[in-house]
Amino acid sequence: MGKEIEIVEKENIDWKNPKVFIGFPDVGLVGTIATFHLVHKLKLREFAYMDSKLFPPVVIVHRSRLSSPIRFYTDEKNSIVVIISEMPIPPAIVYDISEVLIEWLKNIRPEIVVILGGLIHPQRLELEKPEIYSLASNDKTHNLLKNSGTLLLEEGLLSGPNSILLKYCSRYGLDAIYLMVEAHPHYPDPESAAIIIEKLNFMFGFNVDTKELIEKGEEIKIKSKELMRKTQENLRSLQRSDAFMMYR
Amino acid sequence: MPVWNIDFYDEKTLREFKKRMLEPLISIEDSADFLILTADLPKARKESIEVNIAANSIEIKAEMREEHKVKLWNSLRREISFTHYHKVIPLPLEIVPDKVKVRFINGILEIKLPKKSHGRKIKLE
Repeated sequence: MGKEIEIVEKENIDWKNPKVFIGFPDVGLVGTIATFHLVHKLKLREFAYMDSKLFPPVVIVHRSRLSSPIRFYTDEKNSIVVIISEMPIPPAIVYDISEVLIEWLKNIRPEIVVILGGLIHPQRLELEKPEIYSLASNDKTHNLLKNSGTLLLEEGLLSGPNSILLKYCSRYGLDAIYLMVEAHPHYPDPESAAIIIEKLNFMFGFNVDTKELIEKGEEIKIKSKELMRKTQENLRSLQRSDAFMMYR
Repeated sequence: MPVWNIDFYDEKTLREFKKRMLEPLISIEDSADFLILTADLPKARKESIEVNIAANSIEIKAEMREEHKVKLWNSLRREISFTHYHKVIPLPLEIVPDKVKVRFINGILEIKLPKKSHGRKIKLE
């Protein structure tokens, strides 16, 4: 099954332990909005994309160029990798995508994998400053999180591609963290995306301006409306699959 | 920033293009005595928001502060502009229209709809 998904590299890059940032569409589209912003602000270039017969039969057209919904970007020094997705990951292929990604990540030997996502806050409208929760793949990254100013997630149930990817990072010995910012359960949340980028600035020494995410927040919300709608449909089917869990 | 995931074959998108009105994202949550309906209305002018309530549906209308343009291809029209939101939402159960509460915070419209009670309380003996 895994072979039906491939990562097509357009360049042969000699990686030197890059930091990898991944944001699949989930709660509030936080990961997607944040990774798009990183690509835009850090002026990253596309070097690879993911292709599969299992994806919906679509191609993205941007500035008259063909593109894939899941793309890989890097900077001039090849010191970071940002993986973005313009399509919600269908639950049926979450494991396959994660396996293919993990195989690729093992080859490039990342210094760290940082997964960005949202965590539902039912009263998001009343919330002035959403908190960031975090989870690590191993003891080393668990210790890193202790000084990150994030709240370590202690109990709970996580579903979706981000959590499966973290599980695979843990299983295959990759240093990884999953940062989840409280976000609106039903609508795109550029403000929460800005908060998670501020955290990346603090943790990894970036200097990415987040003003644009706030100023153009309404525009981003309108543009990402359809992606949010389809992501919601996905999330609903994932929630239905949570039904077997005992009450905790 | 690109427009994400616009599906020009999608029925809802075609409806939006035909009416030149955006349909907001909405959600309905069921709490004990209320339905809480929210609608995301970025760029909506607060004073223009209209909520029309019937026993089993709600209509939301709003003007946008500025137009939202979408570029098209394979069409005589290269661009289409949206200036309004419009959506009629069927409700899953009957509500009490007179006691509805509405607020608009950070571009999100929240409508609290009291459920119509059909039963009566019975005291335990």
